[in-house]
Amino acid sequence: MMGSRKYRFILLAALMLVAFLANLSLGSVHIPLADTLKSLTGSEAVRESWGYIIWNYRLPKALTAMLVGGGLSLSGLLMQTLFRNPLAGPFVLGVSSGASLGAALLIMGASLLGGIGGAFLVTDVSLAIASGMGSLLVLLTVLVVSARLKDAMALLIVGLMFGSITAALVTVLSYFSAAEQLQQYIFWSYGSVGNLSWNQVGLLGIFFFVGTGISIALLKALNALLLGEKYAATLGISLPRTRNWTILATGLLAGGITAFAGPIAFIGLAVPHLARQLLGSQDHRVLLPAVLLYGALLMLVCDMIAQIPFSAYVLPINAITSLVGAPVVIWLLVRRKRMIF
Amino acid sequence: MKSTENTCDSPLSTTGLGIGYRDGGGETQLSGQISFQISPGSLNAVVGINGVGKSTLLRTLAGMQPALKGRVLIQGTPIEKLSPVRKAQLLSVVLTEPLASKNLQVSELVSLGRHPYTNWLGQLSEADLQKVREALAKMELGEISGQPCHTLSDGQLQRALIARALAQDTPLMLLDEPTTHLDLYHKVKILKLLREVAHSTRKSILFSTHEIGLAIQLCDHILVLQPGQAHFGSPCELIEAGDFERLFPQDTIHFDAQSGMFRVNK
Repeated sequence: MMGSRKYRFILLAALMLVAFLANLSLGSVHIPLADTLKSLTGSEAVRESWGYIIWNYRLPKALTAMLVGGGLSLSGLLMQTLFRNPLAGPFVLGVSSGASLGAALLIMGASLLGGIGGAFLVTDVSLAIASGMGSLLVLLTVLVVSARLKDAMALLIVGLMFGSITAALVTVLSYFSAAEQLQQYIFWSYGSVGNLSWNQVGLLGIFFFVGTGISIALLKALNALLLGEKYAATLGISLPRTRNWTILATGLLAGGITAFAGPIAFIGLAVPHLARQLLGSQDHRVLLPAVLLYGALLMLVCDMIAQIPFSAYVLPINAITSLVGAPVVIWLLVRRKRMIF
Repeated sequence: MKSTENTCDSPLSTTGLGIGYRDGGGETQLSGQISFQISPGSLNAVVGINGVGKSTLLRTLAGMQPALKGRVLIQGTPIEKLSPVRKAQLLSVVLTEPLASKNLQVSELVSLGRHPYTNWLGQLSEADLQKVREALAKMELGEISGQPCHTLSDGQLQRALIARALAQDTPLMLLDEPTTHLDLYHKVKILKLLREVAHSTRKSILFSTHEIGLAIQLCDHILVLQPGQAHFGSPCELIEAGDFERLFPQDTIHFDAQSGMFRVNK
């Protein structure tokens, strides 16, 4: 059992590496694998433009895809354990709807209030800041409310309600918006792992590593939560502290990712289940590295599909993750009769 | 009540304990004052009619809800003064609520009992693994230790939960109705295992139950909870004092002191 688990980890890591290289090689301009490797290792590719494309466009995009996939999957795992709910994902606390509200306020609100000047404010950076602030706002509100709630399930419902409220506000904003702004907002909501500068990738990396670091410190408490909150408390685990840090880690991961890449559906919900299925374990010390690898792999694959190899078309990544993720969840439900958490 | 013994030796004692709920400004006290002291290596039951506060008492004794009055002492220390980890090393519980994750393997479930002793990552040392193996063997779970919990029968699951508490290796174990949903054979099996554990490992066990007849036969001491009063003693002492006769309203059943059983009024 332990042996086969080790091989499955190696398989996962190997697949991810293959997907990483394929992701760099494929796209509107096909770059042969040998040249991809050459420019990665610092030597000259056959054409100079290939090296440029890889270093300034594809490598940041592939790294973003890995951080996004791994980070969303980890926050999904945290939420499923905290809420003892197999259908919980990184966005149950309203993180994504908060980000939507931030983005909507910037894109559609700025033009309503600031007239012509507002239109110039909308850049990738200001969008990231606005959606990040939106996530943070909703998350802090949920944290304040959660201090008054004893039960994690009530917190789950509060998160969903906040999601509904912010979604309603976005609808009101879009009703009063011009077609141009509406289009810009819709493009944001498609999600994207491209268009990030190296600085932005670095910033995303900081969110990812801090969130992952907190999760590692929580591993023991998360395992105790598998028994239920009451049992965990009798094992000496502090519930309020565990809950707050778990929410914070999720907020950093899901909030940071949504700020830079927009809302990306289903990865966070589906990957923890795939990892449990693959490794046959509930132990978070096994699942944490597994969801990071699996999530990164799946996101790289989704990005490759979205690029439509050898063509100039790019499909919305959010649609691809839903098209891949939703059937996976249905398949898990049907195959195992019920999703046993 | 043996109040002469030193409370420091007792894994659990209470003085003038009042249990119940506080909500808003009001208090709902469920019991009279409860004072008792359990001795090391003994099997103890809490019996009483539905709603008299058995579960509330166990939660209060486990420090999961505050006492309205009086004190709960764990080896002489008031329970609220113990740190969470120290408390987890002194008392373990088996609750009636279902496990959050039904996909846990039996051995994983039992291993989680070692949490109060493991490092920040929860890594099991060889000594921890030994305790887990012992607990699995004591509860006769060796053959099914690799199975996920959702495949177990009610009796097996109950033994797995008890094994987890055993692996926690505490001088005191509290169990809330460990025999519900079980047939007579498995009820007796669980209680005999608990008795064996208490006597052979010098752990003290307190459990709530509706199986008064079995408790009389198997327990060293019984706490009889009635609205407004509580009596603690050996089964014989309680029978002589007539405490079981007053346990239920007399309209449908009565206690037969000769056989130590309840009989239906015909």
